[in-house]
Amino acid sequence: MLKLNFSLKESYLTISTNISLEPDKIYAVVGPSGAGKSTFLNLISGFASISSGSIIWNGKEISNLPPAKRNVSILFQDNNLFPHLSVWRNLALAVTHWPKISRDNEEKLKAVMSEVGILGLENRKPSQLSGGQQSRVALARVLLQKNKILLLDEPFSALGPSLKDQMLELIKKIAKNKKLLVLMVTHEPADAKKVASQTLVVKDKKVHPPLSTEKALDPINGPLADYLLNQ
Amino acid sequence: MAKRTFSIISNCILLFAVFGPLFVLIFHADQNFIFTAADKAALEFTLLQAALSSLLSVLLAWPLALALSRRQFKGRQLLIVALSVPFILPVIVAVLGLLSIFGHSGILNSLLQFFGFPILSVYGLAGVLLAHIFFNIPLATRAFLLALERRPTELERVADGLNLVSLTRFWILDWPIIRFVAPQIFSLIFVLCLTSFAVVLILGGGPKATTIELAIYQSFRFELDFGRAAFLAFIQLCIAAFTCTLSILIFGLPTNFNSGFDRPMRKRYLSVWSFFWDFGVIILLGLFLTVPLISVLIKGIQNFYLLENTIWIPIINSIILALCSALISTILAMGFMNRWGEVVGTLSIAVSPIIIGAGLFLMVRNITNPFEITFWVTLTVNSVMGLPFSIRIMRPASNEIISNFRRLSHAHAMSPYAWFYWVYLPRLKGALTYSMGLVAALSMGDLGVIVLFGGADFETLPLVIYQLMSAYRTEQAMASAVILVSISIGIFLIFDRIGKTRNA
Repeated sequence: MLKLNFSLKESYLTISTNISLEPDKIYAVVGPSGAGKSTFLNLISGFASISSGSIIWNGKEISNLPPAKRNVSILFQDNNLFPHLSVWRNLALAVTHWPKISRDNEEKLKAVMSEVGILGLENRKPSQLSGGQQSRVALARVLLQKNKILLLDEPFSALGPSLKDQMLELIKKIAKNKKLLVLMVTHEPADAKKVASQTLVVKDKKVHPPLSTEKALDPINGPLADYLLNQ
Repeated sequence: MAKRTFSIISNCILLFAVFGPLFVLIFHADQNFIFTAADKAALEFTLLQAALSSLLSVLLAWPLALALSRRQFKGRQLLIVALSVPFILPVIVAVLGLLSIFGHSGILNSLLQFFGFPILSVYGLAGVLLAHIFFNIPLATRAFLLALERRPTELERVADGLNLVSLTRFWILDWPIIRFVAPQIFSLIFVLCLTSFAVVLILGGGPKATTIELAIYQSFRFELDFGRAAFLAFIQLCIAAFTCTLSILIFGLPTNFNSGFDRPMRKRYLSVWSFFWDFGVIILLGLFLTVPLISVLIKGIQNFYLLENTIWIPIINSIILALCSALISTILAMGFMNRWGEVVGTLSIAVSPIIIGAGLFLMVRNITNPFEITFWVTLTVNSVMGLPFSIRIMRPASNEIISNFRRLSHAHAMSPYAWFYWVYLPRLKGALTYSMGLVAALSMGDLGVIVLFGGADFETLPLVIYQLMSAYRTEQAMASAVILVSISIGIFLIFDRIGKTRNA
């Protein structure tokens, strides 16, 4: 259970929330641009700090911990991979910072690579991969970190529709197998409907409690009707 | 936190290397010092030549930049790249080149003599100005070009649409750029010329053409009057620091002039008259900037047979010195990757190598014979002199790495060492090698503090060339100059190549 009860008061943005999220569910995060969706994810992952309140994961307060200790992984819109390092090294950094990689770790890497379908790309640089492959490598990286909360800050927004669908399917499958709590920011109601039964609406300086995705994205009576109409 | 510690260490080293000598100098300054007529003349000449050099450079650079920006011709790109060569060109090589054209037995005077005109002397103010504009026209041209290329094309289209011509066009389109860039570049060149040493050492001198910098050197080396030298150094420092601070306060920190020039050219309709004017400017200034060098190259290569075996020792000395100062300067610069570093970097242009050298001399005098540790003194001074360039080159790259990859590295829970090894260093490689190449080339060709200390024990290649020139062995000097310039540019290009190879 992830209990979020905090507020952020900065000159550029004010946002507050008081919600509880199930540990093995996928939630879409939807709202107008500039409402604070990315900031919301940054606050949970620790790349921004809350002004007051708490973030509690399975009974443990995590809001004072550095990003790497929060049991949270995040995929950004870009810069998810180090462009000068090979796929293999990018992934290895998730398990060790030493140049030498142990036999154990090698096996872990191979297992995750086959899970996301990128075996054989070990020696490529990110620039030598297609957009879809890059997303898969980035996903493999966060899977290696073995965190139970996965935050997706529109990492697939640059992909074409069919590649994006593949990635969403993959996320859905993996989240189910590993019982991950996933928060996925998206601008596409269709994407939200594909993977998330529940949706968090970010609007009017608040992250609102989860609604069923159908309800949240109802284009006529839903809370985001204005936004969806103008999109 | 390792980064912070490192930053503090670099700052301390710089403080020790710059302010230590300065403090000692001020401490040594003769309080009963009388400002003689000669000192007054030196002060006046210093300011006069610096002001004239900057003014002439800016005035000549503008038409060249304008011509290059609006004409498309074969070799244009090459010419623009060539404009960055003088920056790493050893001063003594350029001076040799200028002398071979404008000197007593140079081409120009031979022509004048042939037609029965009196011979022109290149020594004194004329020579100093000639050399300074030779070095600074390219710098100013690049600055103007960059501003011109950044000007939105739409502005020109609007001007074309309004059918703006000549004076109005100049007023609307060009004047804002000049007004913005010219003062910046003027003050930069002014400070560079204020502390210019090698040019004045060779082409200046005598009661009429001595700068403070040269006077410091003379009272140090020949009169052994340390009190006077220290006092003069103090004056020099005050002027340079004042000018530097003033220009930072008024114009802000100077911008980088290193960006590329690859904007596609737009077809424009210009008058025939301006066609001749533009190409006249390009050809005349192009000749002025290239002929002296070509002349040195030709004469030098012709005289290779005059070189003695002993030339190897200064060559190796110079290379070791260049590589070591490049390394030290670049490593130190990594501790200055913040706004404070930029300020320090700019201000340290005001501190001339002779002043630091003189201060170091007085510092170590009581411990050891300064002439026995020439290498270490020269290394210290050259590293400090390279620091502003290293900082300027690496800071933008460093900021970019931090803004792009800091979050990802935090997500990986990287320790400062892992971050440095896996991310920072490999990403910084390009800027790092560029900085090393530049400082190595500058240090290779430097004829500054080495003149103050250099002796039989430790000689660099530029010093040997200077000695050959002083002994009127011009042919041999030119042959050595060819070697010097090849190594300087060679080192720069090798580092450039290393920086561009992809990581394995």
